[in-house]
Amino acid sequence: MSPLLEVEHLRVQLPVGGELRSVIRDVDLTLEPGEVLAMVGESGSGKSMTARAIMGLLPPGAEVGGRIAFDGADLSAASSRQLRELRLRRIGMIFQDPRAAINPVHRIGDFLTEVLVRELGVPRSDAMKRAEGVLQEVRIRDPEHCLHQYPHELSGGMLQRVMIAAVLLSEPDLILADEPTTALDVTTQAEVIALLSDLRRARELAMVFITHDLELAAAISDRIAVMYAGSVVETVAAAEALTRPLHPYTEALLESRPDIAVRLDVIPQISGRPIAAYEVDAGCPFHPRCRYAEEQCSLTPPKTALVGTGLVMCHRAQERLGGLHISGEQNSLADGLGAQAG
Amino acid sequence: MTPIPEAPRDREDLAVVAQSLRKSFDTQRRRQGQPALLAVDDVSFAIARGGSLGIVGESGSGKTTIARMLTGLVRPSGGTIAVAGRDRSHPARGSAERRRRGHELQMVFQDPYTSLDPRQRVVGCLDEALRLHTELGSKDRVERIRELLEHVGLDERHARSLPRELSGGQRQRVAIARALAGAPVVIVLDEAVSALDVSIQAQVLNLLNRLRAETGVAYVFISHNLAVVRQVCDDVLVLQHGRVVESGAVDEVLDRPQHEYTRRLLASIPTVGWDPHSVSGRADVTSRIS
Amino acid sequence: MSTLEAGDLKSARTRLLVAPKLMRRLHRRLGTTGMAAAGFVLLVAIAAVLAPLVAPYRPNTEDFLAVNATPSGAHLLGTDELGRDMLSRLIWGARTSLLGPAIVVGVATGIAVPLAAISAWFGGTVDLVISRVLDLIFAFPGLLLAILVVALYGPGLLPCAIALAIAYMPLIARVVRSGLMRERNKAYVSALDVQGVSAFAACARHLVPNVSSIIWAQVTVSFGYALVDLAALSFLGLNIQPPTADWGVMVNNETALLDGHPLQVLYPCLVIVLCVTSIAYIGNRLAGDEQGARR
Repeated sequence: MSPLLEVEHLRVQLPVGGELRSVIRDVDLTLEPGEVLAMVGESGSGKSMTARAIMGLLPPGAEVGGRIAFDGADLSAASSRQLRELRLRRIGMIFQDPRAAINPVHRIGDFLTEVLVRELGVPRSDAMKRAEGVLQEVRIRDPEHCLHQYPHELSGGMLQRVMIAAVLLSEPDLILADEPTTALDVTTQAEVIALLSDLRRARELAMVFITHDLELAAAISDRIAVMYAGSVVETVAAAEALTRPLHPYTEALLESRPDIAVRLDVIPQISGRPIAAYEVDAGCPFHPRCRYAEEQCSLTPPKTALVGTGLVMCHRAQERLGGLHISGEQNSLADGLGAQAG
Repeated sequence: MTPIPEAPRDREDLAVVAQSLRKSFDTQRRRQGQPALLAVDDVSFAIARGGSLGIVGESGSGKTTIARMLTGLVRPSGGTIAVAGRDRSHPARGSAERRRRGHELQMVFQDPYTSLDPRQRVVGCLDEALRLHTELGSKDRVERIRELLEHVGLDERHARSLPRELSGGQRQRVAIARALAGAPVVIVLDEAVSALDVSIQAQVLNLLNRLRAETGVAYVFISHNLAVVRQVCDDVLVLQHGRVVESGAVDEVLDRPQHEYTRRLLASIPTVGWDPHSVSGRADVTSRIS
Repeated sequence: MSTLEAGDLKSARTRLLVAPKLMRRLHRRLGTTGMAAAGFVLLVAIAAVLAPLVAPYRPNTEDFLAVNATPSGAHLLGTDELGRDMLSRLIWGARTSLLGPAIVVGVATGIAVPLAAISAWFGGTVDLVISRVLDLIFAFPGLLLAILVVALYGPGLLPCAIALAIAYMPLIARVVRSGLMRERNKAYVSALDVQGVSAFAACARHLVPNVSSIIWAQVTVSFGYALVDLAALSFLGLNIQPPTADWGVMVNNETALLDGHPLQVLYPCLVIVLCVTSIAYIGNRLAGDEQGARR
């Protein structure tokens, strides 16, 4: 089976105040049909920009390098018309803030059927029937009533369901979900995640799920790509990412997350701040914050290599896999105590 | 959990005492002939000096309204608030009292991008707070600003920066330094770490714990994140629809939750092997919000 | 980086600007065209102030040997029907022509900004009352108000300028108020409130400076309008009276037109148009900048 989505050596630069700034340095991704890939990273790591590049929704003036292929077709060669067609029928996108993505003056029914009626020429009554069907599918009770409501009458969680329903209407092969639950309450988040994972199974949907939360990513995805400063630093099976992180950044991310089970005197922290892609100099982008960094890390950029079961961009990954992992954890506590400034 | 005293006004040893706080936002609903909506309904708590109380709940639980009532940004519809033994249930009379209240209680806001004046440099921002709450001369103020910056883990070169030149974590440090400037009795932190990246969040949480130990300031820590509350609070109130459904010591409540809602909140937190389907008790899947 | 010193407190508050830095900042905000426009307006303003020094003749010096003269070495832009030097009249005329709008804009913003600040800070009933009063004034046409004032107090620059100022004030107040409202809802303003900063200090030191580009945009746009409106009032004979040199008075010269000397009317028209478009362009840049910063 050929991959549904292939991203090779993606580089994106955006114009900022007259100069081009790198936001994505080198991203490789593949996605099989029906697979869910989570992209995890902090703000500015380039995860949302990667999704935008796939959708062809980059801001004007952006310089794009590398190759993006969807279902075998090269998107960089596609015309804007073809891209539009693709967005209309094959790739759907869900955003963080559904309230910003839905026109507040239209009823939910009109919002859902607009594309079907206007662009795809479906008769209005049929479109309404289909809209009701998908609302049922996203578990909205009384979908008929919902069709006649305005966005402000719905809670954030309900609106995100409507957004998902809108995406389902065009029966896409791939959904890009950009932090779809970040703005929601935790209990609502759990419901939306449960819904999304049920839907992907029932409809055999492929999905790129973007989030800053590693644990959440592991719950919904098959594989996780961890991004830092515009590069994918680790791609690994979801279960592995939580239990055996290979990249020092992934490991540090997991540790610095506040623990719900125990109170720590000092939470292990990563010193410094996440840097942007354009700030990366020679060497590994993470080396200034990395507790395992040695001389070569500041000199030569590491290559992505297969280590164990995952792809890792780290000079010392092989070595760490072979046993240094445990001593690393001890180091981390000492680091946490020592490093306070940021 | 700090017990709520009978006569809060005499208890200067308590940082905050709130009794039967109520807030209704009813003007619009009353006009439509509906009953008043209680955003906060009979909430009471007490915080010892140097203590830390977490107020946890989801959106609409009334936690932010409580924060705004404590700071005086919103006037309670009922109940009393006392900070350091002095009542502040009524609006401040005169600028001296306003200043004194600001001196006793400070706030750190959620969004580090809007909580600092975009035109004011860090040193100007801290200096303004110092001039307001202290009698220090300019030399002493410089000394104190240096101290504050060091306290929150910023170095002096950040002093001349404008907010836009700082990262989110650094701005939140500035906001914390500003709150500390007048050596307040209590700081209200309204989702103060929610907007920060995970790696920065841990830094700020450690900072908050260290500052409380060093200065003896009390915290009211408003958050939706139970894990964060566990790291910085002694006690916790769990709010749902404006009411306290469970309260007690953090370890007690999180390890042995009694109320169904607390259990659901705990089950909603993604961890290793988490299954979102386990979050049960869903009663309000309707397309109408009440 | 040197360590923090007492001087930093002061400079952090007053923010003194160094000239080259100011030029760079201006260029970034206005662009090349905007800088040219600002340069032109500045030139006219300097000429107006220094009129006795730079104008070749007094404005009302009549030279009956050179009536309706065409441009020459002695009279660069020619003379009018009384032999008065056109260039000198334009330069002297700039005084009243620019002073008028300056009064209008100064008085209007001087009232509008505090009103807008009170409205935005207190909100609720205060805001409602102020907004309604502003609407009421706004509904009254400015030129009509000016004509009424002139009917009461007689023609002259001051009555006309004050009348226009009252007419312009509500528009400026409304725009500034909406900018301040947006600012009022930001967390840093709540932070000031919590700290116990007084309403006046919060507005004067924080809120108003943060909408300064909105205010400057309003000032420039209103200045252009006032220039035209005052010229119109001069044209109607309600403002400055002949023979005083004023661009509006100079436009109001039908004899020149009838006698076939259109240049005498064209010059003041051209100066008015150039001034107004320059100022409007600067205003647009400032307003656009505000929108740009919001994005």
